[in-house]
Amino acid sequence: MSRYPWLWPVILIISATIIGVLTLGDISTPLRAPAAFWFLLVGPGMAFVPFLRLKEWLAEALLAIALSIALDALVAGTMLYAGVWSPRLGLVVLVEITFAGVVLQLLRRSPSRFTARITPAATASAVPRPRISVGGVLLPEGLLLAPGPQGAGAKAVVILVGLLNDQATTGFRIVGWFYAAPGSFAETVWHDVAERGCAFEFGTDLLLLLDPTTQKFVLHTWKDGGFVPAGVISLPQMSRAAGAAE
Amino acid sequence: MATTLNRGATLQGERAESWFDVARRALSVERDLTAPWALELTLLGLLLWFFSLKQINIREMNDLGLVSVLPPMFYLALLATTAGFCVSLLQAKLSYRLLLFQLAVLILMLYGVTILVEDVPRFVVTWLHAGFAEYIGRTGHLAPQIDARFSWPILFILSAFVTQIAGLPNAISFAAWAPVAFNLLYLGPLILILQSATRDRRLVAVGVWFFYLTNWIGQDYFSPQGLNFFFYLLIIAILLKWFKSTSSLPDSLPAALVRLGSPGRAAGRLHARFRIPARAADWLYEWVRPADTLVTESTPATRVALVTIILLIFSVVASSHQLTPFFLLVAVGLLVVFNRISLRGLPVIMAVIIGLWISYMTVTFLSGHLDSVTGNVGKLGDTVGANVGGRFKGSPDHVLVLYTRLALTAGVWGLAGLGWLLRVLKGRRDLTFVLLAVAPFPLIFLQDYGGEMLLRVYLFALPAMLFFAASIFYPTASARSSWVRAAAVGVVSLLLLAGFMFSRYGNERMDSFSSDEVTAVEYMYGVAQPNSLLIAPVPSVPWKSHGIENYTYLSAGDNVPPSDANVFVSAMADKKYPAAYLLLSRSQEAYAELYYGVPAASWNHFAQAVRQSPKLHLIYSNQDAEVFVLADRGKQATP
Repeated sequence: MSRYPWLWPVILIISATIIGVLTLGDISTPLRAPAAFWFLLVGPGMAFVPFLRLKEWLAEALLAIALSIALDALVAGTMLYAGVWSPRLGLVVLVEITFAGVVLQLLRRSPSRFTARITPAATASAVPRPRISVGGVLLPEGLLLAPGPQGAGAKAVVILVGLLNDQATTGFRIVGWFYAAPGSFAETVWHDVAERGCAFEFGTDLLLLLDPTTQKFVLHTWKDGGFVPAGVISLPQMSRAAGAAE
Repeated sequence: MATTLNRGATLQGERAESWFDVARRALSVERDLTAPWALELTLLGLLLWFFSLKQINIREMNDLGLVSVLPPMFYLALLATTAGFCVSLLQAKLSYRLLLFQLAVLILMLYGVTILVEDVPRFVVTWLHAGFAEYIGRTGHLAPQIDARFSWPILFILSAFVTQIAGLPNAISFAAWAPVAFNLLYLGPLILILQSATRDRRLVAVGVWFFYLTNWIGQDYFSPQGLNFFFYLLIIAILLKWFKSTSSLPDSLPAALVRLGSPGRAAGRLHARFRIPARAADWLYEWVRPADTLVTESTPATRVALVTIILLIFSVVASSHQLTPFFLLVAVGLLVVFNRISLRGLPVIMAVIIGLWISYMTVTFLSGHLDSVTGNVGKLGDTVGANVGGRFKGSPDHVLVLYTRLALTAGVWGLAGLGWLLRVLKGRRDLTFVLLAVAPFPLIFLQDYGGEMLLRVYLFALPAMLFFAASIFYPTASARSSWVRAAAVGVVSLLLLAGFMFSRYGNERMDSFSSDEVTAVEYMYGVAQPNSLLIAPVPSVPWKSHGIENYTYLSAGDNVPPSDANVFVSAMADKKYPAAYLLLSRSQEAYAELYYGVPAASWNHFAQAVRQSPKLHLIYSNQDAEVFVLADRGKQATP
């Protein structure tokens, strides 16, 4: 869903408009019932659930449906107990709630660009892993590099990180980087998943995993509640920039 | 160059494989051939199911229910779908998309079959609930004096609202689809709940699959509890996914007791003194001490939002059903007491919400009763209608169905117990799921709910029970996928399916209605003036779906069949009512035979007595129903 941030706002605006026009205009068409069920089951909830940034479509869909039903029921119930039973009024309120959520979503999202492509790789082993030397200490701000003969390889990592983080040109952002347990290259434990998973916000977010003993690194994306090897990242500028640095 | 050579060598190696290796790999985990096979078998099942529907003649059904009219093709369809599911268990990494599709097909096949072979929505209470929604939509008011369920009205109000927004004439237009829609809704939270216990996708898949083979109790019709079970599952799923307690208790029981202050220290001294009870206590403590794993991390803002959603959902639950809030309260309370979840205040807030609603509604309910002149309106008959389990009596075939239900329930609980034992022997405690499995049981003692309570307990315990049952087949996350395990799942699935078809649809002869019966009821509403008396000797009639407050409804209670027609004639002669109508119908006869064990001959004898009674006059009949009025008032009552 995060790949097309405008998709749900557009769907919600169209859905709310359709059912609003059909109901307020009292137009009877076979489409009215499906349109009503669709909007009342999904609309009000989906206008707000993206703010939770759950990154899991199943959880997001479920919460959207449950929240929609709850909001529908509370609006209808409130009207009845307040003695102003009017389904049209209730629908207007729900459409307004939905529009409010959509507007908030649109205001909050900053547009992200997609200039670089991730080629999906079927297996992690298909990813060519550059052998590089890394030595240093991990800090929240970045990697503090150790001096020495391994510096050259580390520099390549820094250049890579710098390139990827240059969102203006690549659209990628590295949201975390950490060492894997020595020797367990590209294996993540659930603790890492739990710790790092919440950093991912957009489909273009990447995580850099370094293995200090085998001296390999790999980039991960986030999908369906887990890390997925990012596959081959085609960055035409990378080789040039890296070459220039050498 | 080297690459080319290597590639050639691999190709030759593959050719050298024996047919057995090829076959094994086709069925086993290394190739993705399994997913297409699974998909094709599922699609085949769907196709067979669809064509088998045309061969079902619902009118030929006997007291065994739907199974008595299902053609062989229907069973082939179930077999193909089950085979498809078992094959999908052989995937290297089980695809959730495929699983969702397979489960959706299964739900349509098992829960949608009656919708497509019957003329009108099944189950008498479906019509009554549509009537509640109709009353609310028409008047904009509640009527707790007509029925106590108006005191938990939020979902009836919602039904009225949705009906009018959708531009539909009444809730009956969509009520038939409720079982399919509700069971589809249950799918998501069930997956999340099982995922909170294991990372083994096969275990999740088998657990959810079993749920749909064992959810026989039929509380998923058009009703508040149908939707509320979704809310129950979702709240539990949110709590287990995001709010598991991450801090373990102190390492040893004495260390934990010290924290409790002076009573704890006293207990600590006892612990030091009596060695054997202390060991037992230590063993029990070790169950509670460790926190669960597999927590989904979230930001504080997300957690606040999730709690808000939980409270919104719960307020709908508390205002729409009498029982579900208590099931939630007990389950969440146990999870908090045993340090499973971190939202310690949630049970308290839930209790407050329940208390507020009940105390507020009790006032309305009481004042409604004080105002009402006819306090017994609409009360006769509804209580027995919903009782699916019932007593162990009725026609011989019906008793067989009841025993099947007992066997299926015992089988599920037995499998769960076995699975739990196996996991304990492997050193797993699964305290969270043990708690969820036992939480519903105390409610049997708290509230008497017309004998239905055990059924509801079974339903609410089912997800946790099935986690243990499924773990028999996939005991550890590292258990390799094998066709033996998949086949075992298949065999158990077929057994459960057999039990399911008898248990769920065993009452179908009395639970289903024909369009002729509905036509007769509509005819009656068409001619009956307001305040008329409407009589059905057995209250298994598709009525009350509109104008519930306009009529007085009467039935014979447990006196079935009445000895003769005169029982009703005197009631019909009461001058209090402008007119009175007596309805005989097919489903009433079915109900009398199935539920009360009345022989067909004695029902016919009663019906014949009504037809031949000089005091009664037939004003309407079709193949499934007859409407009578008093002979001397016949002219008034007929338009």
